[in-house]
Amino acid sequence: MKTNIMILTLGGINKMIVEVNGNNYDIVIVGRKARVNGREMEISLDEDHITLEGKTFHLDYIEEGTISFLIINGISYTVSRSLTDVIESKEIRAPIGGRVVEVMTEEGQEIKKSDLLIILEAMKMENLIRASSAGRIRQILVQKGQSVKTGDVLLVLE
Amino acid sequence: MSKLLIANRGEIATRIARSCRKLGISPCGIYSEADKNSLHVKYCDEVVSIGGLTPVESYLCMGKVIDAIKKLGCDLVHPGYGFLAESAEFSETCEKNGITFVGPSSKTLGLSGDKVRAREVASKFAPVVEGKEISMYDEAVSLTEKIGFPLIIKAVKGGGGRGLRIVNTYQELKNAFASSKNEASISFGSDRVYIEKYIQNPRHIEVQIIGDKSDVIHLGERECSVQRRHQKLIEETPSPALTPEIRDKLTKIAVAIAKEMAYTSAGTVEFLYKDGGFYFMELNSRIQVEHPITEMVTGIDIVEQQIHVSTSKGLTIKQTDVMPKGHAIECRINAEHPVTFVPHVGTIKEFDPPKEDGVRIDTAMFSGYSIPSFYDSLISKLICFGNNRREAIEKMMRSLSSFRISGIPTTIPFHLSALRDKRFLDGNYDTSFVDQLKYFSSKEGEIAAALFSVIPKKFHFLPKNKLDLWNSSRFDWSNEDQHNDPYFGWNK
Repeated sequence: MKTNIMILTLGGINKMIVEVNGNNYDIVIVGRKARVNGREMEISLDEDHITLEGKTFHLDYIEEGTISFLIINGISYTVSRSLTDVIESKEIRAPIGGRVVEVMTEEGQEIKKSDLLIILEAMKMENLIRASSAGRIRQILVQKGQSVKTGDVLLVLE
Repeated sequence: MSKLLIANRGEIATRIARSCRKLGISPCGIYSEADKNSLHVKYCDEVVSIGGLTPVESYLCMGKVIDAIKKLGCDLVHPGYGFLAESAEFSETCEKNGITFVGPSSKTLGLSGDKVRAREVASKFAPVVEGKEISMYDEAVSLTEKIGFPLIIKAVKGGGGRGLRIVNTYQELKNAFASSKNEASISFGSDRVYIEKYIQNPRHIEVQIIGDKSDVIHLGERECSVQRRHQKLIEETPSPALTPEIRDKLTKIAVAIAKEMAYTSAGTVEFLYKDGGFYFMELNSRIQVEHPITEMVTGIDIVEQQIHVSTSKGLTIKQTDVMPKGHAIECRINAEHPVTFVPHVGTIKEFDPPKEDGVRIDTAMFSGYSIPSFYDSLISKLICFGNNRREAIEKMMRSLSSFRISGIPTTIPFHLSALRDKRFLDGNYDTSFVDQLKYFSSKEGEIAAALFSVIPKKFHFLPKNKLDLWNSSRFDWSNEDQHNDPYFGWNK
């Protein structure tokens, strides 16, 4: 079973900065896509391996800490996560492709954390897209019944 | 049917069992409390529990091993390596009890186990590093005045790096001398030490010998310079450092030393090699961890020959039958951090060895096995044969890349980096190799590492059913758990 990295798109999108074996990477993950140093790539995660543009990387071992240590495909990596992750966007994107069942909010509405915003049907399941923080809806880009792809912008917050 | 007790555990126990079956001998085993789920228990025809967790309570406990031999009615015992393998007392006890010890006689073990006496014998045939046994500190000072720094203090009855001290100044000498004696006394029951000139960054080359009552032959050399903490990590044969002339000289000397000691069974004569000169270091009177590379290039089963020697059949091969061809490399895969080499205890999740012609895996591991904390960290030996050195290296790289061991850290990343190092590829390396190693990584792998490290930890190593986040028909995206997850950084 492929597990989408689906929890990544609530609220704003953060840009994460990590240092791997001395090299810096800035990463934005949206649904099944990752943008690494400005380059978009398809990713999928299945338990302990990740597929990047068709190439599979097995996570053999991970030791997490301020500096994490990983063994991937028999090669070792040291990763340190920068504390200066920055919010890049206030867009809420589709974590998975599917059909919009219901839009539960309207433009200009004030929302609280955890308010239900959109119900998205994907893989025969209804997925509740909730607000991760309080704010105001600036724009709604989808309507009921519309099909969306992974990473499509659903809403924009002020 | 003859029965042989394997007084050991792990990969060497399973490896000895294989040779026993080949010879129609029934392999029997012992296991400690910590090893009841170990593979060697299943490999043997009959096993006896000897209880205990630590080596002292189990595999090192002579009384328990002798009892097991009697209980199982074994006529032979093979000690493997480590534990009782080089114990003259154990060999003697076996002799007294009418049990055939597969290894040298107690007399030979007494001689080879005393490094000072072994040095004396060897000095008749080979250069030895300047030095001698020292009992008083004053003698140490006068020896130092003569030979100079750096020097090394070693335990006479020692092994495995214990009691070993490298000294560079007079200030260090006094403490090092006292602490070495103390450690030797605790570890080996003898505080005898000797001091010799320390050869910095030599190559470590050893010759495999095997003898019976009438002859001693050699099976070529092994290059063992890739070490950490004085323990080997990669071995290869033949050594890229030796010319045919030096090889001929070295192997002849090794045979002469073994003959002088009336050596029977398999053993290894170890040499230090630097700037074209070599020095005798010691004689290891046991089957070595790295013996498979010699078997790969010679086609000779060393354990089988050990058994032939012990059962008075004698060697079934002559020196002229030993015609090594090709090249073999062994990588020791340990449950250790690949950079710091700190041992790691844990459960192996996946264990999927590579399969290819000319690839040999000596292991007692399997998926789901929990590595006990009481024994060594070796989990698998990966041995590759090639028609030439380059082919062997390439096969080893392929095999390391496809050897999947997950759940614990292993030394595989170290090996992959070592095999890509120019010094290794050129065959131009010595014992300083590991300290100067630059670790290899790939750009794509770095991206994968970055992604893995920003994805919440709960996704890693979960059983498949728990990972199925789509299980519920309505998955709530704003689940509180996720918000509390420190790795849920994009959502704060």
